[in-house]
Amino acid sequence: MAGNLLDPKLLAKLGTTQLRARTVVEGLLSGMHRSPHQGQSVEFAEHKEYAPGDELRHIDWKAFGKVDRYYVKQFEHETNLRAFLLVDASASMNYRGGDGLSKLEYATTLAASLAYLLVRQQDAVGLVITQGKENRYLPPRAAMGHFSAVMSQLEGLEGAGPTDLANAADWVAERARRRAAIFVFSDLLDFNPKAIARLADLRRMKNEVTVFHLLDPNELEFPFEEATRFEGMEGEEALELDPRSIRDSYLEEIEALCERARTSCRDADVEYELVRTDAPLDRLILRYLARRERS
Amino acid sequence: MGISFANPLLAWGALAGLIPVIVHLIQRRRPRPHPFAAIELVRRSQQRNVRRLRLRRLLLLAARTLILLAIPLALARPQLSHAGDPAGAAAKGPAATAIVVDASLSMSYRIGSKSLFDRAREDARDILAGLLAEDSVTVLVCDGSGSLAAAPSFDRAAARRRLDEAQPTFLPADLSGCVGQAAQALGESPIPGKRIHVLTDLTASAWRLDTPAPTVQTEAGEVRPEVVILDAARGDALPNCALLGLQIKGAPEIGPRGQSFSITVRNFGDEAISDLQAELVVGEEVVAKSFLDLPAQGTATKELKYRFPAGGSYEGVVRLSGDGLEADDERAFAIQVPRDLRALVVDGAPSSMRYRDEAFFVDAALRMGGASPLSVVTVDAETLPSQRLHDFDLVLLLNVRAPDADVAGRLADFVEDGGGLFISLGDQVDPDAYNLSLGKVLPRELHLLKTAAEPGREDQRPARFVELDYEHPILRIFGAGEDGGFLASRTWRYFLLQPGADGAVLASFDDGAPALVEGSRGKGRVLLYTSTVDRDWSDWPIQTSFLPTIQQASAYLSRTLEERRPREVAVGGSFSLAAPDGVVLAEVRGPDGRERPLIEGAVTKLDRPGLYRTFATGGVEQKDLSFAAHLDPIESDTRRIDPRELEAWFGGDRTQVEQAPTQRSNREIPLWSLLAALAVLAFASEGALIRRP
Repeated sequence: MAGNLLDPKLLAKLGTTQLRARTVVEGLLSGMHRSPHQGQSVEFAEHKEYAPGDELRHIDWKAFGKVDRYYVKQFEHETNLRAFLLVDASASMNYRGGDGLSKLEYATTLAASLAYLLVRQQDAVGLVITQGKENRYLPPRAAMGHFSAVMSQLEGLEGAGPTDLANAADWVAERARRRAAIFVFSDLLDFNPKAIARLADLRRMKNEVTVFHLLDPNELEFPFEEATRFEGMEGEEALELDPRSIRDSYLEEIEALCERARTSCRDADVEYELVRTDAPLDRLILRYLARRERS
Repeated sequence: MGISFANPLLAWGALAGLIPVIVHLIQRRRPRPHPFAAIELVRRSQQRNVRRLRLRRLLLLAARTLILLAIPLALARPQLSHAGDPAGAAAKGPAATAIVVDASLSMSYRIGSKSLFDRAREDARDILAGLLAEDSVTVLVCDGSGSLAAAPSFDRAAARRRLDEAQPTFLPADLSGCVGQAAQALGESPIPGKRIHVLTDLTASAWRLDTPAPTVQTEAGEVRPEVVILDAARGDALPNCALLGLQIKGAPEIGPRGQSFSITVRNFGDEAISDLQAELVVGEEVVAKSFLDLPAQGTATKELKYRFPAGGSYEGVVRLSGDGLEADDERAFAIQVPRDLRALVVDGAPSSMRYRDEAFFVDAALRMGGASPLSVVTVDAETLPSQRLHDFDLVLLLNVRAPDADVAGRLADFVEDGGGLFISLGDQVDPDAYNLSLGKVLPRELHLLKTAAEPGREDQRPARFVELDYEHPILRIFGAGEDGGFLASRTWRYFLLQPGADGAVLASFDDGAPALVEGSRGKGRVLLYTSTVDRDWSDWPIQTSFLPTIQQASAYLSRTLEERRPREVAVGGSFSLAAPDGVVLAEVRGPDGRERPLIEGAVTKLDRPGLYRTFATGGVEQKDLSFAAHLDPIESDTRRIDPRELEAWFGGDRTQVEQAPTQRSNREIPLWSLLAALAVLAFASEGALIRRP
């Protein structure tokens, strides 16, 4: 039953990303995930300027009294894991081939599900939403309240503008100063070697990088039969053609794209996961978690 | 070069070829819009395939267009015709057209492997195919049957069918009449133009130029049609030898049952012919051969003789070595060879001196045989009562005293049953006793003995034969000018006969008294000679006419003379058959084995030369009723008419006589099969293009 409920077509009927994420996560058995890091620490490390989502209880009121600004106290190993969820919210992610989830909806649901899982086990989750040159950022926090902040960013997210993963990767690199888990959700349609290079840099910085390459079944199978006017979603010029006439070539192209992404990620020691947006989310997460446990 | 259509209306279906173009244009305007993220991949795919796709699209469009174009065009049955004179035809404008094909016997003349008729038919088909779509047409096959021309129509298929079914006949044709009929038929078409094509061998015998030239009756009055005459012989002469006549008669000089076949052969060519072979075939066997020399445009006769082994019915043919027109090179025949006859000669005045014997000359004449072999038994009058008369075909009473009632009755029965009786008179004859005992069989009763002159008296004038009936079978052999043997004979004494209408007088004496009188009783015949057959009362027995007359008379009286005449009839005529008693005729079959109508004893539809066989009920062939049909010699005359005569007759300005078709190169190449093949190919290609994008 859980499998049926977690089918993307059914999830698409659920109202909010948060609800979808909880449905996914609650469907998973608790305890299946355990942090790779053992033990906790509450040793003070440094101050940091307050930002929305920070625990109010960590505000250093003494410091406030001295400098009249809010600082929160940070502790060494205050969480098991610092995770960054990097969501590509370009216009191409809006694509929805059938009556299931769009790539962006799938990405946000997947990201939210992971965030929920991580927060539930005291891992810190940060969020980076990239739309062209613009990036929205929530720093990693482990509190459940932070999950709401993450959800508020993801909820109702609409794709817009071109993709610029390289910029987003740069942006994350500046902030992931310590070993962190970075999850990238993108269709990689503007496959840019620079972006992979940046991810490779992140990997070299001892971060764990995972790329969820999301593609709609229509993009993978190109099942169109009748003459179609293909309209670009990021401002590209439209094309009118008989899809059957180029199907073979297209399938070769998409296969080449996936293979290029897979190879580049492998070369960069970046974990790569090709995701069909009609694939059940729970199975995807379970498969991912199982793989992590084996590693 | 041009294209014509057998079904022009269907060619409009070719507009369907626009459908794929229209569909293509419509589809171009209405593709389904679809926002697609991976459009760059699509674009790259398209760029990789752009040339192949463009070619495929063009091929697909071409295939679909070809399918829809080729099918209606194929159904319209287009034909590609090489030039000829289409411009000229178009310039002349549409015309009601009549195609007259000469199907007379002479068109069977063969040059190489083709007959003139085959050529003419091909020419006719060419003309038919070269007509404008607006031309109406009628086809008249001039075969001597008097068939009428139909009104011109646009039904080309019917015209083609008429040509396909036409066959040359064995009859002469009246082309003048046929062209006149064609002109009459053209008057029924509202199209102002009138054109007649005549396809003939230009033999002069087919034209009657003493009649008015044909005109077409239209609402605007009489108009002269345009006439194009196409020579099927292509200007070549048509040398021909024909067997024009066959006479069959007895040839006693070669023995009993000897027959002479006298043939008349005519050379219609301009060059003399030597050693032309003629052969006589009886049954399947060639029994005699001969050779003829024929001058140019000349005639020769030849006799072929054959002695038949036995009497009876025979069939055969006399045949010349072949030429271009084979049909007139032979003649079939069916004859009855006389059976052996038995004659009883009753000598009424025998003498120890043979030349004074009453029967001496008759006996000698009969024993000569003639055409009918005779077995002669000579007895005296006293022996007559003991003879079985029905063992004989013929009884000759030569100066016999009047027989008693018993013998007279038996003689009457003998004649009644078909026997022949010859009676000659003399000093033993008592007219009253004769009238009393033989009155039933005598053609006329005897009256008085007349002495025209005493023998040896130079001052007295003996009677002579006059008024001979040369039409009678007995005397036919003499004919006018050949009767010297009769006219020279002198008769001193003879019996006068009672006047009466009975009996046919074959010969009379110069005083009007009958000399030879024929009578009949029942099935039998009786011939009465009113004088003696020895030299007592007449010197006729020593004249040259005596012997053949006796032989002919004996054959006639025994009913074998008619049988020697071959039964024959002209092709196209009818023949009456007299069935023997007790026989019911069922059918007559022609030389081709097909049955011919037999109505009230007359056979009709004798449409080809050769032997016709008669069958009684039960399928029994009646060989003695077989007969031969022979051709009208006029069609053997292949001399050709001067085209200028025809042009002058029709009116030179609107008449053209062509020795070769101007549109001979106007060969038609049917395109429909090619189009159908293209449609199939396009269909298969379209399917392959669709299945393999």
